[in-house]
Amino acid sequence: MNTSIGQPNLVAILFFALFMFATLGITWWAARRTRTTEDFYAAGRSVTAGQNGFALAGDFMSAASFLGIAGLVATSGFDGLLYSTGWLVGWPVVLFLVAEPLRNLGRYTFADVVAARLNPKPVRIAAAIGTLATIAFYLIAQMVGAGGLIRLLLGIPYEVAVVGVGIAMMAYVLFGGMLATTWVQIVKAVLLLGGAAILALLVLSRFDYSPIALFAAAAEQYGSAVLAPGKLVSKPLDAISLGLALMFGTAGLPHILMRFYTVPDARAARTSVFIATALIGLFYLLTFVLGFGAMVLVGPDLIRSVDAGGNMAAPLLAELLGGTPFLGFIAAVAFATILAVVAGLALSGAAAISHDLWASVVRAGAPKPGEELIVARVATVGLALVAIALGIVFKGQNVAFMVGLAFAIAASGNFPALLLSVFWKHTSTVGAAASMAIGTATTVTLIALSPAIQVDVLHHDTAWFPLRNPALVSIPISFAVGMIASRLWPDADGAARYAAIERQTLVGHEARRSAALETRA
Amino acid sequence: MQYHTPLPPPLAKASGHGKLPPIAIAWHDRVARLRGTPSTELDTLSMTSASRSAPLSPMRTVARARLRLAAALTAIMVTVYFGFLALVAWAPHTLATLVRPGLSLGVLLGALVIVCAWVLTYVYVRWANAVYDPMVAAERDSAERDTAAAASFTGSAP
Repeated sequence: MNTSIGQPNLVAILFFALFMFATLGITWWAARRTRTTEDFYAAGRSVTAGQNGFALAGDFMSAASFLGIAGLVATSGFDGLLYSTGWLVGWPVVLFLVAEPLRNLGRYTFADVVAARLNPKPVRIAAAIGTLATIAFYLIAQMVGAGGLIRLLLGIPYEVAVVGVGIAMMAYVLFGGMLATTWVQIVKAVLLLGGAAILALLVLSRFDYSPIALFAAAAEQYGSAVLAPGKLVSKPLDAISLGLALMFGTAGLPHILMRFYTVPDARAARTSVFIATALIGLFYLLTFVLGFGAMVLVGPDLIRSVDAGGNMAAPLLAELLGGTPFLGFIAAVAFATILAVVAGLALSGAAAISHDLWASVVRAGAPKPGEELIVARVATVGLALVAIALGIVFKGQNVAFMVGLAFAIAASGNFPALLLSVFWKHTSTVGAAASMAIGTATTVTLIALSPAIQVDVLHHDTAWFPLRNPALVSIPISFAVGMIASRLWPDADGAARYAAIERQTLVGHEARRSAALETRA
Repeated sequence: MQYHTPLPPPLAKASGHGKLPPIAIAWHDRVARLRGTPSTELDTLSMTSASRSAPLSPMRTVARARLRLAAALTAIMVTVYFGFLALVAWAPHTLATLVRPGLSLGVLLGALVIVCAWVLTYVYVRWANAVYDPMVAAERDSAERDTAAAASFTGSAP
């Protein structure tokens, strides 16, 4: 099969231009409705549960999971299912442990929740560090992925692609805030799920609409080993560690947690996570079918010849089944996917800088009217520039491990402190801040000592730390530090403070009458 | 200033008994029995605003109920997922066996992990909507009634 991947694709560019036009229109519409900090950070709390469910799914499903998992399944078969399940199982944990207390205790960021009953400054600083570290690594992976993807699919030079992504991301957030970001994510989620569903149906139509017939054909062509575990889990501790990072990291991702503040109350937050879990689960089932479809209909050899990492499996399948137009659509959707995720990351980073660091630490909780919004917007521009710079600096590097690293930091730096602060009576300021700071530092250090850096990047023979993902070690360390430090350095009135927020954890902020008192920029 | 709370009416009556599902009514009766117990937090909280000074024991019951279910469901999810990983790591040949031509045990179990995630979230949302939300709402309503009652009792405006 001759593929047009790698050459400028008119249809792809047209679809993509359509998407940009639509999303910039959304941004313009949202900009007229974004006046206050509550609008900028939380879309005025006006997002419905259904909308937020789609937005959460859109924020979370990345091009890496769509292209990467489909590619992994296409080349290795069953092993891709390990990533599919791993990236889904964090969502029930979010629903059970995090969603409602977060919405009830905080206003704009997860640091609000951790600091709810503790001394704000140390906690906010530590939380901001954890947030920005997570976002930084996640952003690098997305920017580098975006540049490579656009160059591969559309033939546009890498640097141009990275700059384009950075500028679009800046426009969405700077002008449209959370409202624009939400709707870009919703549009992306619909396109991605719709595109994947249509592609899966096209695949299954060749197998009497039976996935099992598809798998049987794959086993027939490539041996029954494709349906069985392969080499991916050759080191069980590695797999368990990665599993821990994925499962608990989802509940510590700052851009995901920030979405819970856009809905009116905890019940809506709960429903939106339920919807997101359903959508994401469906998505991962679809990518599994697509992967096998690509294996049978396109063939692993061709897939690997176009891109060694296998990432072109889904686009090649689209081209085979729907011609160049469908390839163009899928390419544009993959690009839209990246834009939606980086917009969410940028907004979350801007919130950490302006709400956690500037308003709460520098201005001690009382910023001048209008100041916080200005700082948030300046931070957005700064973050976009940093993201572009990082994307260009890391060109050509294998940054796939950075997503795992981001999840590991979220799982070790953010999640333990969040859980301890909400549910444990004895958590103190020192405990929470230490948990976040040491959790983040431990994770980054262990990654630096792990094979991902030592062997793959620095080309040493062995690594100091054997695991590729440090979660198995860093999560327990973070919990232990939090609990021990809380006991050793308790807050003087800790028990009373905990009693004071216990009620709020359940019933939320005291209703609408407090809305008028919230910062109006 | 000491905050004196008159003992509130039994929660079951206060909450509009007939409108709640039976399981929520059972919870309310249990909570009402607990409200007779004096709470040691009252003294600690006498300095905080009136709306936060409601006795916490019934609230703790509600919170603990949610936390118990949440912890149980989380434990199930963890067991299912890491059990699946354990099978992949230590029993790959078992997962390779074919349940049906084209369907290996591994693929089936993997799909079931995803289905399990759906089921667990569904269970939680159903319980939370049907039982937990009414409990919290009733608790909040009675606490507000206490606030109003106490304010009129002490002669200060709510």
